[in-house]
Amino acid sequence: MIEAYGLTKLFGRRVAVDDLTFTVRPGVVTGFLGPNGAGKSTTMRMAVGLDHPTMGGVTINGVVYEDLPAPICEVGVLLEARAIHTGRTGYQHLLVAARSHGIPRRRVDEVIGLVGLDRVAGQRAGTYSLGMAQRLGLAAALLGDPGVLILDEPVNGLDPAGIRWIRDLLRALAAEGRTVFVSSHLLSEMALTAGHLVVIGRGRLIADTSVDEFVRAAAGEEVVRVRSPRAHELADLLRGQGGRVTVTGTDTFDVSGLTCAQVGDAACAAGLAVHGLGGQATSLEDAFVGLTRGAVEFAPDRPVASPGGPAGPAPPAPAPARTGQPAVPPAAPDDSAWRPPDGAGWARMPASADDVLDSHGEGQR
Amino acid sequence: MTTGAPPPATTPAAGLVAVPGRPPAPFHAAARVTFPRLLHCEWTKLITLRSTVWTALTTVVVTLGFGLLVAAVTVDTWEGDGGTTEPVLNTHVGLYVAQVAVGVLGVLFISGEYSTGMIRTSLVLAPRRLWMLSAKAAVLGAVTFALGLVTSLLTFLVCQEILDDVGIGASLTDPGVARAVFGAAFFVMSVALLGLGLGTLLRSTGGAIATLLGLLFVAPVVLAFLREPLPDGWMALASLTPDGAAASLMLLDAESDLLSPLAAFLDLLAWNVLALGTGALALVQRDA
Repeated sequence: MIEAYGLTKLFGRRVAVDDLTFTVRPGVVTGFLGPNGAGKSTTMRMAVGLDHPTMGGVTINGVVYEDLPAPICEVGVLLEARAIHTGRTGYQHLLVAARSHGIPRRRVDEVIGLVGLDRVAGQRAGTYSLGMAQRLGLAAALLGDPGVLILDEPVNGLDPAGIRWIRDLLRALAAEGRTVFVSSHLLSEMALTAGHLVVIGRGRLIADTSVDEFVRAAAGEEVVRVRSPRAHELADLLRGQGGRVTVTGTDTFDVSGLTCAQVGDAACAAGLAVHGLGGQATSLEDAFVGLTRGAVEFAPDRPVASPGGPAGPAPPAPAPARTGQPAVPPAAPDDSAWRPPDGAGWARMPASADDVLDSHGEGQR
Repeated sequence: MTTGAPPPATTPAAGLVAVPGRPPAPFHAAARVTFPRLLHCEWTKLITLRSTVWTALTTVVVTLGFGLLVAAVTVDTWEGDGGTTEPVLNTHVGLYVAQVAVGVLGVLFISGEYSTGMIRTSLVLAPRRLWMLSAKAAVLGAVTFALGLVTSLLTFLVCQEILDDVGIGASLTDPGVARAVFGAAFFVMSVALLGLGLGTLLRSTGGAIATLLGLLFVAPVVLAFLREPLPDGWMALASLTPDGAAASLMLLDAESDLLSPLAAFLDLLAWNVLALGTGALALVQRDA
């Protein structure tokens, strides 16, 4: 059980986390969702005593992290950024952790096997690919066999097989009655893994709900794609009829709040030619982007249009996932605000051999 | 690595069922963070880094090498006029170089954790930060004192053998010699702890090493230039620098403008307390 109460963190005058109160319960994977820079990492860092909250606090099983007598046996922690000395081998890294708590050596071997690092455990961590480093971090998190897990973007850098593996592992850990708190900026991933969601944007709580409920609420509204040589006039017309218009190109725009039929009828009545018209149920990612739009730290100047024509309800739609990501890396003081979009690669759900090879290729430096 | 890429991590999709279930593992009963365990943890950190071995070797080889050189030259040019030679200080001139290696070891022991991100793991393992730093200081202090003692004893014994050729070798039982040899070891430890304190305070390897070198090498030079314009009392300032104190500890014939051995010992102690104290304050207050 993780409980945050009135959790607030200021970096100078910038509010990174703003009065967060939520509870993460055992037995279910809880997704911690938000755009980049929403304050997910900062919240997790405060939970384990790395950052000091400006106000409020977090307890783990009712105790502040610093006061736990055997912290890593209570909470397993995987932080987004690497937290491994590059000069030590994977085995030595885990041994260091084990010795601080009096955890036996055989447990080190056990977790190395568990995350599949047997073959590289004797190599220096500096030679590891991002995926291997993530596995080592996960091994360290599981070392103490903790009842609570706090994992910041654990699938980051993993190949598709690794992603599925983590997904199953997290579900299995939760099924054993553990508290599993996993952050991500991708709703599609969380929809597959988590049972409960805590959603934040700009440090504020946006939703604390079950995934099913969130998806139901999110997937409700229909978006109509319109292509017209007289897009401006048609858009003005539809606005007048209560439609909410998002311009996506010189002759294209999206309308929500109106049905396909209503848009077509209106265009016909006004004598405006329509070259394309299609309805599309809001994808999970679109809903998420819409929900957190006001709460995106670094929004691109204009929304990126989703490729492809009208389609049936087909979550997760890949491309809009990038909408929430910055167009250029901003110079942000919080390193969680920008990461290279490598994590976005697996939103495409690649399964081809090439993709797998690519993922492994990153180790060849 | 000659073969290029490391082998890709295997994906034990079926292995996940091997997760030990609740109730928790039997080792939980004995698992808790204690100070002795943190010492063990820091010891493991120190000996699993290659830089530790290289630093230790450098310290011994450089100190002994310069000692041999000085002893050989002294014997060669000895004219039997009975003047004093300062058997410890002169043969330990290599420490002047070796202190850089030891200081860098101290800096890297913590700044290496900041630069790689390991510090986050360290603080997750030991959220009581003062415990963590104390354990680091204790382990580093013990290891570098032992290193200093081995270096100093070895250098002293070997060099005195050479100096004995012309009958000017000293013995460990001569007045002040044991103090000087132990003083050299204490100085080695002090430089390492000074590095650790600066590394904790500044977090960056470069900044901490620059500051340390400034204190060890630049400060004495600047203070020497200031001797002329400043009144007499200020001349003692140079002897308060770590190197000044080290000279005082290793001198057998006390000079008037240097500290007494006891004062030099306290002076080095004060440097360590200052560096580690400010480092500890920063460590506790800042976000990691």
